[in-house]
Amino acid sequence: MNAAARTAVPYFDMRGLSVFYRSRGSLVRIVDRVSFSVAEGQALGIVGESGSGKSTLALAAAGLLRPEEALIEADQMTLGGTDLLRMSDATRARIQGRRIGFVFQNPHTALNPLLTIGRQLTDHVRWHMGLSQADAEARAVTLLGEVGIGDIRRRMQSYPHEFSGGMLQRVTIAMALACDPELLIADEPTTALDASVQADIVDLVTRLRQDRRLTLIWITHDLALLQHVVDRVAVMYAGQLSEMGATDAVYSAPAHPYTKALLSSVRSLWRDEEGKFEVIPGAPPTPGRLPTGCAFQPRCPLVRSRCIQTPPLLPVDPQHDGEHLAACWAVNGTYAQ
Amino acid sequence: MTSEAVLSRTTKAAASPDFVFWAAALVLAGLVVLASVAPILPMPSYSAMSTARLASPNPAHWFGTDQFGRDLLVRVLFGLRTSLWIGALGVTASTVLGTAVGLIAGYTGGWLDTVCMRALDSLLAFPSLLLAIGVAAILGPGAVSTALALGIVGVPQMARIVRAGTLSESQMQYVEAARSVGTKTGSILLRHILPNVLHLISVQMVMFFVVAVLTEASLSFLGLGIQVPVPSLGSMLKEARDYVGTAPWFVVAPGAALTLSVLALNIFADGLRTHAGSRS
Amino acid sequence: MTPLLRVTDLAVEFPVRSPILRRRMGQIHAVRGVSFELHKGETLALVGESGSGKSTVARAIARLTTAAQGRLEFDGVDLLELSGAELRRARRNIQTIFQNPYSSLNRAWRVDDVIAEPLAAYGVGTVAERRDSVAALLARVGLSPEMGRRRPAGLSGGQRQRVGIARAIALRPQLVICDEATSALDVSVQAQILNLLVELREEFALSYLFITHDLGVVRRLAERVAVMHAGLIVETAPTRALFGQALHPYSDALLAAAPNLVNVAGGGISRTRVSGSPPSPLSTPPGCLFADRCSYALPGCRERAPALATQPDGRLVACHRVQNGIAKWRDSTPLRNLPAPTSLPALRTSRT
Repeated sequence: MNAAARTAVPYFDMRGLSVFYRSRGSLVRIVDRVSFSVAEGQALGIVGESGSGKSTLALAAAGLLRPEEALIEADQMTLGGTDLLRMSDATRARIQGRRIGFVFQNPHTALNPLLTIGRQLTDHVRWHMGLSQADAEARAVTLLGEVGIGDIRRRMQSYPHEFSGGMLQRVTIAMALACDPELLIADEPTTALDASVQADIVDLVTRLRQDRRLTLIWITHDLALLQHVVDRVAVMYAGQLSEMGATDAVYSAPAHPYTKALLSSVRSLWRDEEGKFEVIPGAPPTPGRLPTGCAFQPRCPLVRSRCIQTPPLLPVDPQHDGEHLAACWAVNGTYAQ
Repeated sequence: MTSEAVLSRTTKAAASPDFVFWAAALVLAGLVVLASVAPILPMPSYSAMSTARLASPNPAHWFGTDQFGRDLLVRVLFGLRTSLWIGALGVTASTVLGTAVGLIAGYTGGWLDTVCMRALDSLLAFPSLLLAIGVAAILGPGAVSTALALGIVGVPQMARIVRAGTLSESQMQYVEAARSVGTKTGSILLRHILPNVLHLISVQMVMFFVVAVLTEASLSFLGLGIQVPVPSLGSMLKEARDYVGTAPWFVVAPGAALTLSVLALNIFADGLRTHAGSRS
Repeated sequence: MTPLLRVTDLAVEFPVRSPILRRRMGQIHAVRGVSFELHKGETLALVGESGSGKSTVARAIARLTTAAQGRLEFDGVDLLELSGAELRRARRNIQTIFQNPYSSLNRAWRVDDVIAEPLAAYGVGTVAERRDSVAALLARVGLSPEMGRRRPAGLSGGQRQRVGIARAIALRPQLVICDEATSALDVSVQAQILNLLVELREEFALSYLFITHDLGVVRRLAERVAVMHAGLIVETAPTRALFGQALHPYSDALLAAAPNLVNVAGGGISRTRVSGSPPSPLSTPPGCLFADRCSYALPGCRERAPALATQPDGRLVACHRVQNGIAKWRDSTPLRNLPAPTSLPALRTSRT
């Protein structure tokens, strides 16, 4: 897997992405020069807590942020070889809409409560693919079957409120797949669902990935769930990318102090031991009130004066694993030059 | 690190609507000041008649005189004072009553809510002017009954708005929390819910003020409102009707004052509503 | 020893009315007959998925919702028999920490006033004494005095939840109901709040009824766990025993479905899957409410509803197969073929 990842041409490549929200005449930085790439058919997980900028990152990648609300800057952005920067806004929007499917967190608000599922799905297909009504309906039926909805004819006539959360999320996934996208971005798709249903959705997405050879980006705050879904993980903190690497590598040998503290805290919740839970001291970051340099400085046990300069992503173990990177000067246990 | 491209362009800032809002606020402030100081201005009394009847605007009488030779500027100022004063009374009365009904109906729900709102709905069915005429006819003409009529006219709308705000606030967990720590219902309404619906109330107050001023002017125009000799913009307009051709300034003076006040109030209310909406 | 709280056959229903005429069209059975005990100083966790009725149970105990029937004996006195001033006196000893840190504090109030509210409502102390109490409470939950002067909008989610905790303990209650108190918080903040709850439990001799859907949190916090499904308790057991081995098929599936970072030896998400959904709260099917989702249901399971019965090890379980000692369902093959989960690709290499 590692060798394949290294030589694979990045399918979705984002370099130096920054997103600013417009707020009362000023700009607040939400995503701070993040670079990542996903190889074709691969699954990347982006994990972070609230304030990490992960959702904003997903929206920016899918082209879902409006110019009035956000300013997006990037050094490079390519999708399957197409350079998305050197084109007009309109063309880019069309390409993003056609080739990137987006799954939203809350299926109840992502769908129109006043229209039947069949109507919404059919309209969606017609709009994006220009099919006739009959063809669009047939395609809608196929999509619903693909996401595991039974009794399709009856379901097509039902309204969103008649579905359970899990079923509705399947519908949202069907909508995201309507144009046969190459890349699927899922923003916290299971957060609003019960644990037993979460596993079903994970199964579904994994199967779809295989059947359609999809590239997947999965955003979540749920560390435990993510390890069952993705090949590679990127950890975000306060808009900065702290660590990136293969799932196993990051979970079993985290290199960035934040990742270490986060994993330790989450694990302590489950362990049957005496004593206190492991905490990350201090408070979560507030956008707009971040320190210069590495955002984790106020809470980091290894902080030094060097950290005022934002560390780049450095290899953790260059000899054995070129893909495991962490944005920390102390990444190998010793401070790099 | 310089970026290759900016993916979204800054939108042009729209022509600032704030200028109009502040201009209206300024005009309003000016009118209020003028109306307040009217009694102490070194001018003739509003009922002082003179021999210069229906005189056009001149250095002695800036706005001219009416059919009794009374100075129109003074009368307009006092008329404005009356309109604003009565309007304010009406707004206060309807706010207090409407808020009380809205809070109780919205929080309690059930049959009390239904009874109150249906009763108020029946009031709402009447055009406000008709309702005011009805009340004034029952109570007799005069300043007090006008204020009362305005108060009654304004209750249904205020109650609806407060009730809507109360309904939505009652769903919030802090209301449940207040009940669980032992706070009594009255305190919940006044100290928890009321502060959170104030922004709705204040906007409605200003909007109703517009209606109140116009309704008072209409009542006075019809002879049901403020009675002679206290000047009112409405009654002045009524008197001026007969002289439109011969002494147009007689109509223009009170008419312009009324129009200006209502326009400024409307713009101010609109601006308040937008501001309140964006704040929450 | 009389338990601090004894709930017997608690049921809560909400009428469903037609839109215009408000005719009664049906009943939502949110809680269908729940019984449990909570002893002084104990922490009992009430877990279940959304719609299981756990939050409704909490609200019924706090008298924020009316119970249709049942007994709620707190310190020996049935709360459902009380009203007016007596009820108010009794309620002082049961306080709640709410789930949503954003809507459980009045955004127009300052934090100091939020914490002082219970003291003011019950007329505890003079104004000056209350101010001192509030300052002490603020410090105890780890907030600075300056934060007391702010409004909730100036505080983070974790800080607001601390305010909620301070408010809940202001009256020194005996029982604190934590209604999903940590569910809306970031993971790293959850640990801080949980530590605080543990400290306060010892310092103020509190008993907790901890409502949650997150099994992970329960393990270190609660001595006993009650698992709810479709308005009923299906299993009540000491925490360690439950996590060691769950007796009821639903508890077992719930434990297995919860992804966690500790038991990852086997890799992949567990195969014991719960499919389908609980029966609609509008209907009361005969028999066990879990039968339709249970891979091990026998025909008899759909005819008679199982009651919570005591097992040899002291646990309470509502399952016919467990109670009748029929060859332990766990060792038997599933009687029905529920849709098999598709196999997950080999995501990870073997662990070193």
